Parts: sequence; structure tokens; C-alpha cells
Amino acid sequence: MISTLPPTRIEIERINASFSVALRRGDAAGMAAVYTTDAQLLPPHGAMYSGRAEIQSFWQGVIEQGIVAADLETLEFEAYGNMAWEVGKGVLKGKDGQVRNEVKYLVIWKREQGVWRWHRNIWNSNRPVP
Amino acid sequence: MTQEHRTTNMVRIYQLTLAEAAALIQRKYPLTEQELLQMRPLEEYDFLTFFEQIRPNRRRNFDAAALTGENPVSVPLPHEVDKLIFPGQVRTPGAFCFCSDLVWEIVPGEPGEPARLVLRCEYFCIPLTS
Repeated sequence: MISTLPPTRIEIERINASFSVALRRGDAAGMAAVYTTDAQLLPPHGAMYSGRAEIQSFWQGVIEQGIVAADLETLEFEAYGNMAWEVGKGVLKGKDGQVRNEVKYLVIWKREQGVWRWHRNIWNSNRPVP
Repeated sequence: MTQEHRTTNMVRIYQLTLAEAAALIQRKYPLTEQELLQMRPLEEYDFLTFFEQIRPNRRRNFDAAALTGENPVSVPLPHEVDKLIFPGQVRTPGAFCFCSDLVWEIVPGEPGEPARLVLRCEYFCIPLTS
């Protein structure tokens, strides 16, 4: 199937898919590759993670907690020059396919040297505080 | 997957003939990552070149062929079969790649030879360093 989406949107979808495929493989370095080198990760209930090395260690911890899949769906996306933003939702799953969390997320994208990457990434759960 | 110094997202296209694909289906497991890495990609592009130049041209050719009825160019087969042929994702020393598009195509043969059925997989590759 040949997509009719504009190249930027196709690239964004490919990069998001790359993140999900890397998680399925348990490859934290592959997940971190979607971020800019000076990216910041702002997870819920925790400190900020800055730079790819820290971000890779965060996702490695998530993998070790048994999360094996993140199904991401872009709800809104707009690009302005070398910056873009995306609002989406995601479902995190464990090894048995069980849904471990449902989240909404915001990604600020940045294009560096012609390459789109996640520059700022924040999300939180749809579930009530336990 | 040879050019690991690249920092841009890449599209690498691998191709197998029907006979090669059938042999993989018979052995009941797809190409291993190592086997794929030993193959040369049929084509390799940086992402924007592929989606701004190469793919639109192919789409025009696809549409023209459909209008004239000269070439049936797309032959979808069950996805279960496709999974037995190419690895879904590949990790190289410098990139994380996944098979983003998979299509059976009929391509013209050499002069005097019949057209051939081939399976092409487009790997989207994201560099691990930038």
C-alpha cells in the first residue's frame, strides 16, 4: 500500500512505530534513538530525565518491570518549521497482553539536521490515583 | 545494512524472488537478522529523498500502469505468509530498523524473459547515534 500522507507525517509515524517495535524487542537503546541528544523525559510521579543516556536507563527500567508493548496513536500533530507537537494516546501492555496502563502523551518534536526526533516527552495515566 | 555512519533516517529496500521466499516458508522460519545483514539492500535512500522523490515517481508509474492495464504491479498475500520471510526488525551496530512496508510485486524480466514475482520489504532505519 502506498501512503498518501505527506512525508513529514509518514516520518513521524515511522519513528513512533520504531519506538514501539524497539520496546517489543526489549531494546532500550533503540527506544532512546527516537529522542534528540538533549531531549527531556518528564514521566509521571518522578524526576526529569535529560539526555539519551538517562532516557535509555529510564526505558530499560520500564522493560525490566515487564512492559513489552506500547501501542501509540497520534490524535493531533502540527509542524511549524523545525518544531512540531503531537498529542496522542497509548496503551502499555505486559507479557501476557494484559493492559498495564492507558496514557495520554505530549511530544514536542524537533528537527535537527533534517531529522525529526522526540525533544520533550510527557505523559500521564488515565487511571485514577490508586 | 552497511552504511552505519549515517545520522539521517534511512529507507533500505530488500528484495527476494518468489523462489527464495518459498524456500524460507518451507524451512518455517524467516531470514535471521544475520542472514539479512549479509544481503545487500536492493536500494538505499535517506528518508526524505525516498518519500519526496522516489516514491512519488513510483506512484505515478503505478497509476499509469493501472490506467493502461499493462502491469499488475501489486499482489497482496496473507500477512501470515509474509511474516515467515523477512525479519520484522533488525538491530545493526549503528541503527535500529524495522520492516515498515512489505509488498509482493510483479517486475519486468530481462529482455526475452517473463516478468518475475518478487517480495520487497522497506526497512525504516533510525540511527542509534546522532
